[in-house]
Amino acid sequence: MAPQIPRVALVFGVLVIAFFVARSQTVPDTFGDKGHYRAAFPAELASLPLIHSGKQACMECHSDKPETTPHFKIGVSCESCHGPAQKHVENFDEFKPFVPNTRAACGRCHEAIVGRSPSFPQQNLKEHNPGQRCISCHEIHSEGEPK
Amino acid sequence: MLNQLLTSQSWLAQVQSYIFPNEVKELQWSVLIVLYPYLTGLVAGAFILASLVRVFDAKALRPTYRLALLIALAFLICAPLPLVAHLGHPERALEIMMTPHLTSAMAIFGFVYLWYLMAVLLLEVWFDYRKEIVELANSSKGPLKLIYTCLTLGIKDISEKAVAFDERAGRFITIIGIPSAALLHGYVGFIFGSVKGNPWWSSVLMPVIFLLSAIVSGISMVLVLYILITTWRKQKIDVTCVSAIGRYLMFALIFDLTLEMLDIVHRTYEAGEWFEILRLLSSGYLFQTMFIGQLFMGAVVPLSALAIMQAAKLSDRAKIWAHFVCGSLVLIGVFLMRWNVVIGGQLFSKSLKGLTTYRLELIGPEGVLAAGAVMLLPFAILWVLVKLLPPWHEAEPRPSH
Amino acid sequence: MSEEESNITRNEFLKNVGKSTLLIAAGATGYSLWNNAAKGLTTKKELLERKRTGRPKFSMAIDIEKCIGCGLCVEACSKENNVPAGHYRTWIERYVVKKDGTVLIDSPDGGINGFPNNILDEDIDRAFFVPKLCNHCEHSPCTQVCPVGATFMNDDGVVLVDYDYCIGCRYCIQACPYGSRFWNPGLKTADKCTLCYHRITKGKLPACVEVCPTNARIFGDANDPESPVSKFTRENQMMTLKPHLQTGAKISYKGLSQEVI
Repeated sequence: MAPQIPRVALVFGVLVIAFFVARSQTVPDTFGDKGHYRAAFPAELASLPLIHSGKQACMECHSDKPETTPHFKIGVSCESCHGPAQKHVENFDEFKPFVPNTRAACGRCHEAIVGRSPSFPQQNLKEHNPGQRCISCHEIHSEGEPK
Repeated sequence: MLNQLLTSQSWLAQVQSYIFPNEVKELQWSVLIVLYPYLTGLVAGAFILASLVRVFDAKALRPTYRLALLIALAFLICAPLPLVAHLGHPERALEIMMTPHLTSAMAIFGFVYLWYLMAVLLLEVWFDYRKEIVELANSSKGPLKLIYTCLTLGIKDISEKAVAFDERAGRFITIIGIPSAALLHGYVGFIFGSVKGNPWWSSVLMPVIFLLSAIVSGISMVLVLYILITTWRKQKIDVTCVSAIGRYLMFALIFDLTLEMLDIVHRTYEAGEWFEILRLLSSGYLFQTMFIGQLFMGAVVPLSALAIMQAAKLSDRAKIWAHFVCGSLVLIGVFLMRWNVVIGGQLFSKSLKGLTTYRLELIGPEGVLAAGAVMLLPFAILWVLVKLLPPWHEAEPRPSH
Repeated sequence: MSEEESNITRNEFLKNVGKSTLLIAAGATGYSLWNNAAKGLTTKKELLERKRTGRPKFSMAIDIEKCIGCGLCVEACSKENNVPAGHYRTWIERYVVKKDGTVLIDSPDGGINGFPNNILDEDIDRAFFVPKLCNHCEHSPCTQVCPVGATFMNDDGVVLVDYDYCIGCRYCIQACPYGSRFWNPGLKTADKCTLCYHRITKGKLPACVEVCPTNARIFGDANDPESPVSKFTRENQMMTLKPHLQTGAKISYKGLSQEVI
C-alpha cells in the first residue's frame, strides 16, 4: 500500500474523532430526549411571568362585579378595558389598573367604522354628543338605560 | 397566449396592494446571501472545468488545470463566510453540524461543505502538488520550510512509484469530485427550490438551473483569471486553451439559457395564483437585472459572441479580448441571476398581493462594502495559494510522453 | 540498509496507526448511529404513550363574524409577550369588498390601535376583519427547514422557537407561508406566537383570547371533545388558511371568505 493512504486516513481519523469529541461536549443535555430539540425548553418558556392575570384572578377580590356589569355578562374580560393586571393582583396597593374614561377608550370598540358588523352596537363619535365623556351618561358597572 | 396576457384583466389592479405587517420592516436575506450561492457556484464550476482535464483528458485545458483547482479552493474557503456573517448568532453556527436537523435542506450544508473541502478539493490539490511540496520542503528555508514540511504530512517519498500513485489517486478523487461538485451546488439550489411557500423559488428546476449557472460562472472565472494573471506575469497566453474554455463555456451556456427560459415559459403558461404578482415583479423591479442583465447581457450576448467566434477568423489578440469580455459578462450575469433569485424571491409579499422593497446599504454589516470585502477575500486567498503552490509549471511546454 | 529497515518499520507502524484510527472512527460513528437510533426508538415509543395518556393538542378557532377589529388582542399580545415594535405575533386584517369587485385589504400597524374609518360606506358591498396568528401547523414548513432543531412542535401541538438555540439564519421566516414569523432584533433570533405558552401551561387563556371582547377567538384542547374549541369546530363549518399547502394548520376559521389570503 502506498504510504499516502494511511497518512491521509490518520488525518481524517483524527478529524472524525475531534468531531465526535466536540459533539459530546457541545450538544445541550436534554437535546434529543423527546425529539430533535432541547427538551428542557418548553418548561423554561412556561416559567415566564404573567402580564395579564385573567378574569378568574380578578374575581378573587372583585366577586361583586359580575353581578352588576353587563359587559362581563356577555363575556368581556376585565382586562379588555382595564389593561394587564397581574401586577395589581400581586401588589394591589402599589399598582392600580388603567381606568378607561375617555371617548377614545369606548370608541375602540363602539366607534362606527367600516368592517364592524351592523348588529354590533356602535356610534359615529363625531355626531354622537361630541366633546362629552361616554361615562357621563353610560354607566359601565351597573345595568340600565343611559342617564 | 400573448393576446391573453395583454388583455387579461389583471386582478392585482382590482386588489389594493397589501403586504403582511411582519414583512414591512425588513428583507430577511440580504446581499450577503446573494454572495453565498455565487461563491459556491464558482467553486463547483471551476472544479468541473478542472476535472475535464483529468477525467476526459481535455489536453487543451492543461494550462488552467491547477489554476482552476486553486480558484475552486480559494472560493470554497470563503463560501460559508457570508452565511455565518449573516447569522443572528454566529457563535452558534456549529450547531448546524452538532445537531443537524435532517429534514432541513440547510442542515446538510456543513457536511456537504466539509466533504467537498476535505475529501475532494484539499485531497486532490494535495495529491496533485505532493511532489512539488516535498521538493519545496527540501529546498526552502525558514518558516516556509516549516509550512511545506507540514503540508507533506510527513511523507517525503517521491519515488516514481509514489508519484504514479498520486496520479491514480488524483484521478479517482476527480471522479468522486464531479458528483460532489454537482451535489454541492445542486443542493444550494434545493435550499431555495424546496420553499413551498415562495412561488418564485419553489421549482424542481431550481437545483438544475443553479448547477448549470454554477458551471457557467466557474468556467468564466477561470477564463478571466487565466487571461488576467498571465498578462500580469508577462507570459504568453495559450490561445488554444482560451478557445477551448470558450467552447465549453458556450455549451454550458446553451444548457443554462435553455433551462432558464424553460422555467420562465413554464411559469407563464401554468399561470397559477402567483402569476400576477410574479409578472408584476419581473416586469417592474427585476426587469433590468433579469431580462437585460441576467438573460440578455449575461447569456444571450456572450453566447452569440462565442458562437460567432467558432466560425469567424480572428487574430489571437482579438480572440483573447473577446473571450475576456464574454467571461466578464457571464460573471456579472450569473451574479445578477443569484440576485434575482435571492432578493427577487423576497420582493413580493407572501400574501401575493403586494411588493416589498430592498434598500441596499453602503456601509454596515450587510452593506455593499461588507459584501465587497467578502467578494475580494477569495482573490486574496488565491494570491497566497498561488504564491505557496505555483500552478504554472503546466504552462511551460511539457515534454511529450 | 539500516535506514531502509527503519523506514519499513515506520511504514508498518503508520499503517497500523492508520488502521486503528479507521477502526476507532468507525466505532465512534457506529456508536453514535446506534445511540441516535435508540433515541429515535424512544421517541416513537413516547409518541404511542402520548396517545394513550392523552396529551393536549392546543388549538384555536376564530369566528370572523364576531371580530370587530378593536385590536385589543394585538395590544394585549404585544404587552404579554414583549413583542418588539413593528412586529406582530398576532395581527388583524380588514377586508373591504367594494361594489365594483375591488378588494381593499389593510392592517395599519397590525391593527394594534384599531382601524381608521377612512372608506366611504356607499361603495361597499361587504367588509370584515380577520385576526391572524401562527397556525401552529401539524406539518409546519418552518419546523421542517430549521437546520438545528431550534424550532419544533412540542408534544402538546404548540410550535415553539428555542431562543437560546436558534442560530438566526431566518430560513424559517422564509418558509412560513403565512407571514407569521418575524425577526426579533433584540434576541437576534426568529420569533412568533407561542399561544402564550407561559399562560396556557398555567391553565390561563392566551392573552389575545382573554381580552377579546366579543369572544371571536376560542381556545382549547382539540383532543378533549368537551373543550370549547372542539365544540365550536364541531358545530360550525371551519376552514384553514391556504389549505392547498397542506400545512395542517391548527388555527381554523368560521366564515372564511375567498378573498382572505
